Amino acid sequence: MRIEHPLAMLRAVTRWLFYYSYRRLSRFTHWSERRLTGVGRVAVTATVAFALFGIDTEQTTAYQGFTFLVSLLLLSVLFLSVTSVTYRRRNRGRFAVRRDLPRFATAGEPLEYRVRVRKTGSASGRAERGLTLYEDLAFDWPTRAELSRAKEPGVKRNKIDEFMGFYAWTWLLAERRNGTVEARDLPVLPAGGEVAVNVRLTPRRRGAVRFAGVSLARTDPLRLCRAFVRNALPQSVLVLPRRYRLAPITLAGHRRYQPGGVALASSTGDSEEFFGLRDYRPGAPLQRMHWKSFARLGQPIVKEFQTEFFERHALALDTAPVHEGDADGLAFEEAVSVAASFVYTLDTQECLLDMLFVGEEAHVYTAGRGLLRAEHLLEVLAGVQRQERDTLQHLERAVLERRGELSGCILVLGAWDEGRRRLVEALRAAGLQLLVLAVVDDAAAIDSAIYAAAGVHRVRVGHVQEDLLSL
Amino acid sequence: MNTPFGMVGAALLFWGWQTGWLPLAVPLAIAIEARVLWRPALTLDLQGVNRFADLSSLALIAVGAWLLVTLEAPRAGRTVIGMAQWLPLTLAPLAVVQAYLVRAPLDVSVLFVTLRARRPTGMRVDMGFVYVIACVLGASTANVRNEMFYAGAAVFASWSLWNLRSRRYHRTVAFAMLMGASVLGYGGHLALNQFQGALSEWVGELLDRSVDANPFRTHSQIGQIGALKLSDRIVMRVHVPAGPSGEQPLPLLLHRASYNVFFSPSWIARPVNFDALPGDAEQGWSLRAGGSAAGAGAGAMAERARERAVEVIDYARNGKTILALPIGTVFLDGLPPAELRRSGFGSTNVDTAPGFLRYRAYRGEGASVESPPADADYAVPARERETLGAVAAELGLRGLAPGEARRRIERFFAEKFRYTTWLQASSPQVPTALGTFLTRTRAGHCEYFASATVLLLREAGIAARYATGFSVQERGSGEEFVVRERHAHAWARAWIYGAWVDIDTTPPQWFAVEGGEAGLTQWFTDAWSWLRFAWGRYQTSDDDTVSRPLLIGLLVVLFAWLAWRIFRGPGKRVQAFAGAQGAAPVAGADSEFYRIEKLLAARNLARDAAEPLTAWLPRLAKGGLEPDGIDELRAIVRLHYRLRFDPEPMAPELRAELRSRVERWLQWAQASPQGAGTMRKTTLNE
Repeated sequence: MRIEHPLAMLRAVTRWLFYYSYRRLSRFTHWSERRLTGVGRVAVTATVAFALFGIDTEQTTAYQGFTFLVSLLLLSVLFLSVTSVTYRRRNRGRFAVRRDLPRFATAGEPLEYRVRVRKTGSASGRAERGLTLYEDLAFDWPTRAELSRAKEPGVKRNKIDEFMGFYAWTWLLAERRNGTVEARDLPVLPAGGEVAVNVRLTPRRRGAVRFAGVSLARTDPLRLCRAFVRNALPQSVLVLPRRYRLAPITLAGHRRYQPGGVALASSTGDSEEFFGLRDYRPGAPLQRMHWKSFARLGQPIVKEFQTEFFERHALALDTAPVHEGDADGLAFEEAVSVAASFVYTLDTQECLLDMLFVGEEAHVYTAGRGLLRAEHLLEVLAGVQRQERDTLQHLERAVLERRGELSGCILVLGAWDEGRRRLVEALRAAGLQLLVLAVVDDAAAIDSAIYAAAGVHRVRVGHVQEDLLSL
Repeated sequence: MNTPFGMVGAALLFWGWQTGWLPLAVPLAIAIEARVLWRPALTLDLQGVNRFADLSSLALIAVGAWLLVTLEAPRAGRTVIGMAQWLPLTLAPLAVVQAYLVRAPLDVSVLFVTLRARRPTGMRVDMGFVYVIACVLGASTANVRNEMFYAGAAVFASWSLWNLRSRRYHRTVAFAMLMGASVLGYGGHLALNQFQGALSEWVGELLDRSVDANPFRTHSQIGQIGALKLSDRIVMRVHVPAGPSGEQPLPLLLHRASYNVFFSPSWIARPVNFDALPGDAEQGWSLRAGGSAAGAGAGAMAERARERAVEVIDYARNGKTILALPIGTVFLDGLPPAELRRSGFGSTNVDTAPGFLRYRAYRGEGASVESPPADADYAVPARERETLGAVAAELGLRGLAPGEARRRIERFFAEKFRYTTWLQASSPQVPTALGTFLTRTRAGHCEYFASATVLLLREAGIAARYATGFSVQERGSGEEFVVRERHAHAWARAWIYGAWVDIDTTPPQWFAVEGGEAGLTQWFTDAWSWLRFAWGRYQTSDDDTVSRPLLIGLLVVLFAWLAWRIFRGPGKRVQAFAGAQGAAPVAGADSEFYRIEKLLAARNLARDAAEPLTAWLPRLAKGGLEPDGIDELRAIVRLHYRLRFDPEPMAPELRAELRSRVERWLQWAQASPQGAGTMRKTTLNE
């Protein structure tokens, strides 16, 4: 990058400095949070307080408290450093850790899973007391470019905070970790024995949470500091989108003929439900001849099939870019959540649900009896991204291609503008029964009457649950 | 509060003992430790705890404001220390909450308003321990210099840590660590104190050198080569009274130290003896020769002559400085409690608390405490004698009356010399730098003029000393004059007709010359200095701009208003917040089945977080629950599942059945003995 103006250069240098300081600070914070116990943190805070008040050793005696606390902390660190050498040597490879991790979690919903720790070796060895289990999450540090692009969704900062970028950094880091795991104290672990603890993970957003390993911590005798034994245990859990509760909804539309029946409703070929036998009439296809009856009765008998009728709904998710507003993508995230809520709520035992969205190409996934289940669709939604090119026309085409089979269509829009209004009109003009939800920023200055006139339900970011319940 | 019984009380008593506030500490200690007699009947939600924490913060602010208003100068430092001393009182509301209302540790966000807007930090602290730390910190501010404070601090820290120690190790290991820390900490604090003493001495010397405040020796720039440059920093602000004619006598020389022996390029004072000045902060200090303790007479004189006194605002970094006083000063007042000592060379040394100093110097009749001339005040160094003898002969000084000799010397420098801040090299023909100045260059800065004047006066048989201090000429904002570091000045002080008089032969242009070299940043440094001195003036002011009762009254009203704000209906806000969430009710959340779960959890048969009910029931059977109870429970679970998960609303009769079955089951279970889940068959099937 060429920097021409001295002011721009100063700005670039400052941001570079900020970036590296934040990175250092985050590493240090993480380190201190791990290394210091609660008691240790209180001790360090007290040490700082005594140091401040004892800065002039002639004015107060606080410096005496300071030296005592510093001595305590030093001894604690020294104890752990000295004992760590022998402890590591004695226990190398003797801890076996296993995680019973489910496949899915839901964004924002705490997930409890079990971690089993086994200590191999002879049963006569020493039992481990007072160990604490920490999960190590794997993540990549944000780059400088990512920091300068980062924008916290739904938060307005002042100019100074924006320039400093500290809040953006903490947000970005939390996004990268994508979850928090609480540390758990292990019960007494006998040598050669196994213990299990429930660990609670709270994922932050849809996507994945990656684990790098499990660390086992022990403290010094005064419980001020911790030392760790690390066990690599890479694993990951898929985080499904956040879901909202929907009031029981009745979708408009009639049952439609589904050629091929349920099982093949979404695939090609000709397979209908067997209904009965009847006499051959000229023109009946030979493939439908029931040869056994023909042999028994001596006259041609053919199988008769009944065509199947189902309700079939489409759930179309808008992945097109927004030209004004929603730079932080909050409305899109909520739109995905709204779509997930429909997937989860609609009873696909009774109807078919086609989920459509446009990524690199138009994707269609159908859920129903004998087809995909709701969680498969949620899994797909966990990875949906907003596109940079305009995908509204592709979406329109994909819906209209299925028009003949669909009873109705739920259209979830990530914004409301002219392009989207045209899409709604085009689908309505094609005779589709539409339920349209437009997720918009609450602050967007569009009159609610406009939504009502277009037959669109407005779902405001920050009031999603409220607005969905009033559907 | 989970601190061991007696710890908080003992810490409070320790604080009371060290600070002398035992009458306050004893009832407070009893009030907090009486918690053991109290079964918690009340509990407090987070909002309530926050309100108590706010009350503590408010009390802390109020104490700070009170101290700032009522304390003597220097106020800032004393206020901070005072606030720390009163921590056990200001934190008492939180300690009471922890002792009586909420016994589980509190989230640290209660202590910091800024953290409350976010989610709880997850860091929980027992306020009992925080309170013990506050008591020890408060005790430290009493500054009792014996071994008891260290012993107390070590005992309370060890007591706390002993109870929280890890059970992984044998207790002797923890004990050894605590003992080790006590010994190490003891040695550490002795060493730290000594180290700081040595450091401040060294730094003090380093800082003092810049403004020549050493009463024993001054090092001049005589003989140096290059541009002389001093900083523009403002070091003092001075109020100069108008003279009898109505005009201010300018320039005013403020004297700090005199020296009698010239050892080029240094001037040395010997012998220097400092004697304590009689007086105190209330009465003022008398500088008259042989003056007794400043009595009522001196005080009354000060009262009358306040308008005619020179007032100085100075900054003493470590509380020790040399006052800058005009010649003829006989009385001093306005200083905070301090120890004043004066040397025979006219240096007045003050030792007080660090910070700003404001003092008034009254001039009057009668010799000030400055020793009469001795032999050294007539001596001319051998190396300078030849040049000086020639100049004195040229001026015809020998045998002249002191007044005439003084006039000739003054005229000599005024007519034949000019001022420059450029320091030139000595001429090879003249052995000394001063000689070069007198015979060749005839240009230099004040140190040359002062040194040459002193030695010429001595050649004329007049006792003279080399004096240093400041020249006050630059008008600041309003009535005040500002004194910058570059206004540091040197002149001669001569003994003429039985009194010391100041003779300044440096051409008056020197002030303009040095002012012309002011740096570009002077405007900024001046603005900063103005702010600093405004603060200093407020800190050292005797007169309250607002009357004290009014200020205190305002503080009380403010405190009452804030307290009312804190304790007034936050309930409304909570409701509004809850409403905004708009959470949908979970179907079947009101199921009576949860009462059974709760009861069994109390009997150590709790269901795991992710355990289905169908897996829990067999476990209950293994846990000792009677088979009849299990069968009934299974039927209840079926109804409960229907209520929870059937999309159709539950029929009223089924809902009633669930309710009654749960009720019966609970009655049956409560009739069973408590404990290991053993439940007798009783009236379940009635």
